[in-house]
Amino acid sequence: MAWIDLPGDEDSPELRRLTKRYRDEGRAVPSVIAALKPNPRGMRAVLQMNFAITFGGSVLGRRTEELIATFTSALNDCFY
Amino acid sequence: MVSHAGYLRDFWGGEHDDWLVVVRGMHALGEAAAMQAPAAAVDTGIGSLTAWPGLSEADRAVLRFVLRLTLAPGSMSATEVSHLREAGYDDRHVHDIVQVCACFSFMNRLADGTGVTLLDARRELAIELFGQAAFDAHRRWGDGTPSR
Repeated sequence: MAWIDLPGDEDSPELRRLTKRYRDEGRAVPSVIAALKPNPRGMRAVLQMNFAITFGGSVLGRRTEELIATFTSALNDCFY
Repeated sequence: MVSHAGYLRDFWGGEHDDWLVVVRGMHALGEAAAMQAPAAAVDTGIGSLTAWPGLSEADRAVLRFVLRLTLAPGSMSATEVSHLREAGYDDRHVHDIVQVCACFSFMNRLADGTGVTLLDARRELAIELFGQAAFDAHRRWGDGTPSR
């Protein structure tokens, strides 16, 4: 659910490709990732950015990455 | 916050109770910061995180840097980078700390600007961390009920 209309995961070939990893893992597309679906080109770029600089993409290690992610989100008062 | 608190738990490597104290402390600090001027919120945060368990001095240096970069970015200076170097981080580490912090500020605004809420898979985690009432308030917020 969101305050704007979001396309379905398989509404276009590009969205089908971009959401495939989640289907393959047997889980729903995380809501914040689903919020990127109106602009598939932007969605692809953001996913590439996320995996390039965090989720193991940094030199910091997963624990430090998640310390930063959790603290930043808390300071931004973002419950999600 | 809940989503990455879950990932943090997976990689914590210490006592579960320490993880709970740290995550709840972060949440409380965020709620308090929303009611304070940025400079005062940074001072409050530096005082709070000193007492959080299960963290190394290097962890605390990262959190102090992220605290200021998120709440008062205009007050950042070379001094903040020096503190990270003193804690053992090199320039590539500093760069990656900035990028991870910036990335999640972007993702936070994406979530809060579009009103997306946690999936049911995160319900149990959210309730363990902050209680049923907080989770219900989050869902009401997503439904458009002005309760947050």
